[in-house]
Amino acid sequence: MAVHDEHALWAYAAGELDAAAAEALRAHLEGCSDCRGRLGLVRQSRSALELAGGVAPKVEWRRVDDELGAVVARRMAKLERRGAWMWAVAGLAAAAVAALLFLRMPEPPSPEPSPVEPPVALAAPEPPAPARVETAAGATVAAAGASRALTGGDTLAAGDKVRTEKKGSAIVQLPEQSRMRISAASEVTLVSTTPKAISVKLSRGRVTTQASHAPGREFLVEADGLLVRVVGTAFTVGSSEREVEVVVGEGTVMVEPPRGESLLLRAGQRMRFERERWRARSSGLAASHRAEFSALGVSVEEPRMRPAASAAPPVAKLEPPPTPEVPPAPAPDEKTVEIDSPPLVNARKGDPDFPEDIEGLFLRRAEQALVSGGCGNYLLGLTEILESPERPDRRERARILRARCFDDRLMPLEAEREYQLYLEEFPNGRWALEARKVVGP
Amino acid sequence: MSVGAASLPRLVPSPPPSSDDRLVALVERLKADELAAFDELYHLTRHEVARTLFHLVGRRADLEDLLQETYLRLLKAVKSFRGEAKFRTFLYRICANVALMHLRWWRRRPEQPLADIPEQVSDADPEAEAQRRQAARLVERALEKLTAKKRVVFVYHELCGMGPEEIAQAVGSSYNTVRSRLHHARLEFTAEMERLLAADRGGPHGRP
Repeated sequence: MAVHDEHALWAYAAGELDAAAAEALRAHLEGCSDCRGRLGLVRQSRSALELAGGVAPKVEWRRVDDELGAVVARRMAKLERRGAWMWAVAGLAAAAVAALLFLRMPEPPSPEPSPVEPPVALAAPEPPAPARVETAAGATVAAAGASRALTGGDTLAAGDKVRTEKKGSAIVQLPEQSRMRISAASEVTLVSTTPKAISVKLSRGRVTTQASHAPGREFLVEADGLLVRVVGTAFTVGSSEREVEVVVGEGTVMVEPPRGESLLLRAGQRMRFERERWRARSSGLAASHRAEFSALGVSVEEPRMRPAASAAPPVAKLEPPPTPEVPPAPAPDEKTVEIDSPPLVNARKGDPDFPEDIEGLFLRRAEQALVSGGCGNYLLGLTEILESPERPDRRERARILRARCFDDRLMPLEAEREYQLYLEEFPNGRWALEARKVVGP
Repeated sequence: MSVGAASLPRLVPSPPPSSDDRLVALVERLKADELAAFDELYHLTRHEVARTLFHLVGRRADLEDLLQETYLRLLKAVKSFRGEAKFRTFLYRICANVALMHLRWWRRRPEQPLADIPEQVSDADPEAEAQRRQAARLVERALEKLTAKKRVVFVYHELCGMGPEEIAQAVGSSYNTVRSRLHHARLEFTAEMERLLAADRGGPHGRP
C-alpha cells in the first residue's frame, strides 16, 4: 500500500475493502505509525458523521404544512375544474361522431410560467382514415392473422403489417396526402392512421416518407426504440442488424434515440445510429436515397452550411458531444454520392418550409426532460435552435433551457455562462430575474 | 473536547423508512390526482427529506422554504416518474437540485456566521447530547469546505447511506464521476476535520 493512501484508509474503516486488500492493509498498519495515525483521524471523522447523521433539525412543520397544503389544494382544484370541462366537451363530441378513438389530454402545467407554445387544446376525437396502396410489387400484407399479396388499390388499416421481398417495393398513400415508400426486404407495421397522428413501426429494411405539410399533423416512424418525428418533411428511416439510419430530403426532423442525444436533422443530412450504444455518425447521402425520394416526387434539398462569421455564441463544452466520424467507404453494390455533410450544428437560414412544430415539440421535450431526467440529451439540439435568427422567442427559450439543464446536471460554471449569455441577449427577457439570481446584479 | 473514536449509539432514532413499493403505489395514485396520496407521501418522507436538506445546505438556508420547494417540485415532476429508478432516487434528485440552487445562491453572499438552530431535543443524557451537538457542528463546518458537487455526493454516501450507483442516478453523473468526487470529498473532509479538531484543542496543528 502506498504511504498515506487515505482513500484506502477510508475504505478500510468503512468496510469496503475485500478480504485480501483489508489483510494487506492491516499488515501495513502494523509497521506504519503514520498510517495508524491517519486511520485514527479517519475513524474520528466517521464517528462524527455517525453522530451528526442522527441529528434531526427542528422544523416549523405547521408552517410547511399550511403553506404546502394551500398550494396543493389550489393545484388540485384547478385540475378538477379542467377535468370536468374536458368530460363535458367529450360528451358533445361523442354525440356528433360515430366512433371514438382517443381523447388527447392537455399537458400538465409547465413548472415555470409561460412556455412559448399555447396550451394543447382538447382535440376532437377522430376516426382512423384508410391508407391506400398506390403501387406494389413483391409485397404482402398480414392482417387479422391472414396474409395476402398486396396490389395497387388495396386499402390498409392500423395494425396491418406490410412485407416486401428482396426486390419488392410498395408506395402507400396515407391520410392528409402523406406518402410512404417501402423499399425492398422491409417490414413495416401501420400503428396509427388517424390524420393528426400517423405512426409506423419499421422492423427491418427502409421506408421513405413524404409527410403532410398540414399544421398539427405529426408523422412518427419508430425503429427499435429510435423515434423520428416530422411535420411536413421528406425523410428515410433504414433499419439493419447493425444500425438505424435517418436521411432527410426536405425540411427538419426530430430524432430521439433510446439513449443519448435527441437531434434535429436538416435536409441533406444522413445520420447513422449504431444499435448497441446508439452513437450517431454523420454520413453522405447515397444514390439510392435520392432515388427513393425521387420515387415520391421529392428532390433532395442541399445541406446548408453555417456562415463563416457566425454571430452565434460559442457552444459550451458538453460531456461528451457526439463526434462526427469519417463517412464509411461505400458498400460495393452502392454508388455513394459524396456530399460534404455539414456538421450537426448547422444553420438553417430563411427556410420558408421550416416546420416550426418540430422545434416547438423539441423544446417541450427538453423542458419535460428537466424534470424527468435526461435533459443532457437535448443540449446539442437546443444549440441548433439558438441559431434561429427569425425566432427570438425560441432562442430565448432554448437558452434558458440550456442554463437549467446545466444547473440540473450540477455544472454550475456552465449554467452560469448560459445565464450570462441569456442576459446579454435578453436583458429584459421573460426569465431575466431567474438569470440575475444566478449571475448576480 | 474531541469526538470519541468509539462508535456511539444514535441518540435521535430515525423513523423506519417506508418501503419503496409503498411510495411507488402512492405515486401512482398521485398521478391520478388523488390529493390524499400526496398528503400520505409527504408525511412518510418529510423527516428524511428535512434531514437530507439540512446536511446538504447547512444552517444558512431556511429549511422550511427548502422543504416547500422540494415538495412542490415533486408534485410537478411526479407524472414524469416512470418507475425506472427507485422513487427514493427520484426524490433525492429533487433534493439535490433544490440544494444546489441554494448552495450557489449563498456562495455569492458575504460570509455569514452559521447561526445555531435549535435541534430536536431528545431524552438522552446531557453529556451524550453535548457530544452529538459538537460532532454536528464540526461536520457542518467541514462540509462547508466542499464544493457543491462533492458535498452532494459525500452527504448522499456518508450520511444518507446511498451507494455510488444510486447516487449517479440521483445526480445525473456517471458512476466513475461519483466515485472520483467521493474520493476527493473524503480527503478534503478529513483534512478539514483535522484542522477543526486541532483548533478545538487549542494547540498547534498536529495529528491526533
